[in-house]
Amino acid sequence: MSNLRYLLAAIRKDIGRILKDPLGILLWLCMPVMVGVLVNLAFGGGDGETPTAELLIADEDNSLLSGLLTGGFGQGEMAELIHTRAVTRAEGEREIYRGRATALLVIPEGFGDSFLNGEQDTLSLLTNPSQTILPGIVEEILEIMTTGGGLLREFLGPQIDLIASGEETGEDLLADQTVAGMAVDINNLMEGAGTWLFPPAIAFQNISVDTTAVTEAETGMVAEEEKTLLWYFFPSLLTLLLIFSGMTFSSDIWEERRAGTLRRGLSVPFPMRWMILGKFLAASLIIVTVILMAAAFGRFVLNLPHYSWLAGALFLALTGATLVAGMTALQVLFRTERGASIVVMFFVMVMMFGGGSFFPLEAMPGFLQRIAVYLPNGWALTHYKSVIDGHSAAGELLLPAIILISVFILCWTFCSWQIARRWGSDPS
Amino acid sequence: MITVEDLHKSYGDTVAVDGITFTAEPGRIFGLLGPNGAGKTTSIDCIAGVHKPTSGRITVGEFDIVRNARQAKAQMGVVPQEVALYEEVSARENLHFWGGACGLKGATLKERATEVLELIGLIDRAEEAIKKYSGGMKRRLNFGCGIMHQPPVLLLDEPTVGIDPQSRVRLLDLVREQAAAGVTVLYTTHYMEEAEALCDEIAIIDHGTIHAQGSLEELRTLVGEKDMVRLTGTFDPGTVSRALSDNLPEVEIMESDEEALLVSMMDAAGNLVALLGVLHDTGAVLRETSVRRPSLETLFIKMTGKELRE
Repeated sequence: MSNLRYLLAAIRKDIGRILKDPLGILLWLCMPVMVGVLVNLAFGGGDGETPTAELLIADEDNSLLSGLLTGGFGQGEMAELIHTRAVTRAEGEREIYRGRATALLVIPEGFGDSFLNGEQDTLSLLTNPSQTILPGIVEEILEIMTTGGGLLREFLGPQIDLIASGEETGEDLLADQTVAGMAVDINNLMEGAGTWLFPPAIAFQNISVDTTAVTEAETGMVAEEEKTLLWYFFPSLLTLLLIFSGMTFSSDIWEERRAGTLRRGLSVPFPMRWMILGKFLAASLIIVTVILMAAAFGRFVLNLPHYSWLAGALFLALTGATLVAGMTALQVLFRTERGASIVVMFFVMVMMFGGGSFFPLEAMPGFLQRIAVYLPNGWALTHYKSVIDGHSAAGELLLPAIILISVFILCWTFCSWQIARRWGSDPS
Repeated sequence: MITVEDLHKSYGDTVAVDGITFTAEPGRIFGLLGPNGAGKTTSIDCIAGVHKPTSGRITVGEFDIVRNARQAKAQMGVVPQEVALYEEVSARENLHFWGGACGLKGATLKERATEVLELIGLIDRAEEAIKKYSGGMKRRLNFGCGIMHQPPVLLLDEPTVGIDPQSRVRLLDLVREQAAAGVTVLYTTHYMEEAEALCDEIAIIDHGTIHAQGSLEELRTLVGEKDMVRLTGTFDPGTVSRALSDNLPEVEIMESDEEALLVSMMDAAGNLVALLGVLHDTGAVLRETSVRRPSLETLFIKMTGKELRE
């Protein structure tokens, strides 16, 4: 009973010390927040609009086909990426030289006829040299469209010839029999091509997408389209918070050693282990509070679709407590603060960059992902993400939590033994 | 009461304490006097249960510090050499924590903290974070934490290092009050005058060994009535040694090298001219001469062959 009273006094004392030095907490809170803001800005999370290419089109042909080509740029998602404007060749060139547009597409006179007659013709694209990415996008899209046109000419050659011959003979309308024959020919062609154009895999894929949608709704998993950059990055920020808290709280053992409070603690009737446990639990309580607040912020303010967020947050807090104990064990291995700082910083860096705390695990190369799960933060992050995206039930965190508690107890025992042995009273 | 019997403490090949034995009685102040690195702090650490002795036996009250560590520690209040306090929290919070660590609880703990704050003169600033305190105030609080549970044995390891004279006087008075109340006080210091002014019994320690032990009077008897004369200049140690033994056989050489000479002699003031004459005849060149009356310091020099410096 008196041991418990001493333990509570030690917890109260260390919480008091931590809260009376809020700058220390602010420092380890600020670092992950700063990283989060920077990454968000760097990956387009700011208010900037999606850049749009300004494509000028000089249609000198004015045929049905050139109309189809220019209209193609205004279809679907392409319309969001490319804004088109009809100009004359001279106007277009002027605009390009003034840097007011991305590219000028010139469709020469006779382009439609050349296509129908199977003759080669050339589309010219004049790009703005002051832009780098957008002209490339326009060029790629145009290339796809012309390749598609070439394929169409190849497959439907006889039918296109028939249309072209009608134009040549001056008949406005094709006879019903001719149209029916063309329809049958096109149908036969599509059926023949269907065996390799529409293989069973495509049909299967369509079905599987529908099935998955139903399964996700039933099991409560986060759908892939809901996983934004922030969804992937937020858990990493939480583990970054844990790493910094571990580093900050564990270095306090040097402060106690310098002050002589560890030596004094060794001369009181209670064993040193209770004083050390008090330190760890005080740090853990602060970590639990901060992680719960941060996780709730992510779930309810940022509206991140996190399942079992509370269990996940508590699991992360337990990871934080174990990191404090582990890093303290690392600190007391060294006789000088300088040596300990270098080694602890090394582990912090390895965990930050290799364990998915700085870059989300999903953004890391495969071999690094495989290594990451062997680092404490990467291991915790994997379990945490599995729960918040609904792949695992909260109860599945029980075994990892038992492992964490075991490691915590091991580190606590080692620290107490090492400090009582000589480390705590050695002033050197 | 503290009983230390043949205490040895080694760290690897380094011998820090080499077989010391003494007894500190209740109501008296026992001083361990020695320079830095003499083994004082290691001895206190062993007595306080911070370090386990390599061999020997330490008893505090009726409890052995190794076999009954918890009971023995409950008998002791320790005031370490460092200001072993938590700077971020107040004096009262420090007293509460260290008092609680020694078994006090509830209302008793709170009342005792107020009592101690009054005793050490910090009641007016009890709620302030102690990082705002002066060195002397911190030292007083350091002492206060050691006496929170009113221990029958008090260990003080150089408690006045680096404080102003006024705070030192105040602190020494507090130590005397503890002894007057029947507490066994073990006090380590390297300040000669502090030991002379405070301690009822003194052990002179160097290189982990006690060279002399007894009350101040007993130690003065050991020194005799001889004065110490220190001379600096240029000497030939061999020639000086022969000349003194031939002409002034009552003069005892304590230290001798080519630049300094330390001798012990009766009535130095009256015999100084004769001494200087002998030295002059050896070809010695003198730059400075000083005479010291018999004191604990002269005993220290006599016992250890060196002056006591910080």
